[in-house]
Amino acid sequence: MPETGYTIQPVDASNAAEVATVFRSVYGDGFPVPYVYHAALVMEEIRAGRLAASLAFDSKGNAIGYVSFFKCAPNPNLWEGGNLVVVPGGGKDELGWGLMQHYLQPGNLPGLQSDGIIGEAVCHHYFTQVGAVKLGFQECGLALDLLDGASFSEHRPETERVACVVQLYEQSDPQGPCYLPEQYRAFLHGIYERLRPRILLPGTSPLPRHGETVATDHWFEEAGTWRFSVSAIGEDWGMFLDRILVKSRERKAVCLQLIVSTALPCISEAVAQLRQRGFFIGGLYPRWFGNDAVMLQQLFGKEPDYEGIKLYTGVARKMLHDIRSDREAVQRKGEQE
Amino acid sequence: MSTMEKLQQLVVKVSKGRLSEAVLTPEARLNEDLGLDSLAQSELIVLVEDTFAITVGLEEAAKVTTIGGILAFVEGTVVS
Repeated sequence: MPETGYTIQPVDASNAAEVATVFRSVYGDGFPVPYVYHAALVMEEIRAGRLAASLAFDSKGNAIGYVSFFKCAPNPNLWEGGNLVVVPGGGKDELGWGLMQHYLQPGNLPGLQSDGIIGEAVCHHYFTQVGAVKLGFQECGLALDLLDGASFSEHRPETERVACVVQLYEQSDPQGPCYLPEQYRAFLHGIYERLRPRILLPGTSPLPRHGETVATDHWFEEAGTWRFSVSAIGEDWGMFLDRILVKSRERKAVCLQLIVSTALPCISEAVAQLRQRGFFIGGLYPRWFGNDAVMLQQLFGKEPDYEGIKLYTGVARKMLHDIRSDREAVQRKGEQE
Repeated sequence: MSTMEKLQQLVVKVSKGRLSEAVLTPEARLNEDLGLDSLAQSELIVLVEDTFAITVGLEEAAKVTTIGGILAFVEGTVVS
């Protein structure tokens, strides 16, 4: 690597106050993750094992960048990379990519084991996508209309909503079989070709006639996005879906995601019920539960601005084509019924 | 059209017309002289890769900071 002119240091009690300085330089006080403005809260997240964060400093000791990985998934060994900030004019051009690269180096993540790092790269510019792909992340899905364009104070998108490419940097070998929905077998096999080997089986068992659906949810209010992680499916699956669709409309959600575990042998029938209710494929969320998951999505706002989605790779562009086709097929089917 | 002329067109496109080809000399620095931030530079990487059918590594991207540097990289890569 060329001489960088900056150093990257883990956030600790001695420098945690600089995190707020970095975020204010770009977002003022408006960044939607409140703890970044409070050194004590940053340290609380780190001590609780929910956050791994580093700051970049220039040769004069000024904080000029920040990157963090945090826990986002039911799997405690899966990290999400994000909240990367470079102070305007403060760093060399390669600083952003240097920060991205930082945690991919062995030993820079806390804990003994990491199954991988998942990222959601925004699609109103190429920066994150280019950096992640070149660092070895694999593209696994495309979340349409995930974020509100108006929430970006810097580099404001030209589109009302912002899509994100789901990317994974896999760091351990997966265990256990993955049951695939028959409806998306070819689509998912295309993604699996680029990941570590897995046992892939058809998920064609019938839906259970007993038990309850088990899901955790996260409502991203600023984005109008509601995400459910479904780890078990019970006899109430259809009613569960009807209920969250009603609630989604009540709370004016724009984007609804269901991330369904591939440990469930009944996944084909579960997906059939999702499609009957207007859900379409979003992609694979590898290692989401330890095992993988399939994400289906539904949008309640305007038609997505497909032309405004900037995608770096042919893989991602093909994914968008397939996802768009599936959405249109689901819509046509709905109109016929 | 020469490689330099193609490259100049790409930079004009990335700048959304803010820059004219006249200022895109080999010595011009992408950030300091032309005001291309990291997002614009990543878009330039995408266009350069597509136009010249080459791959730009992150290390090369970090090393190359001028128009002339990109030109040398493209010509060196295409020839090799």
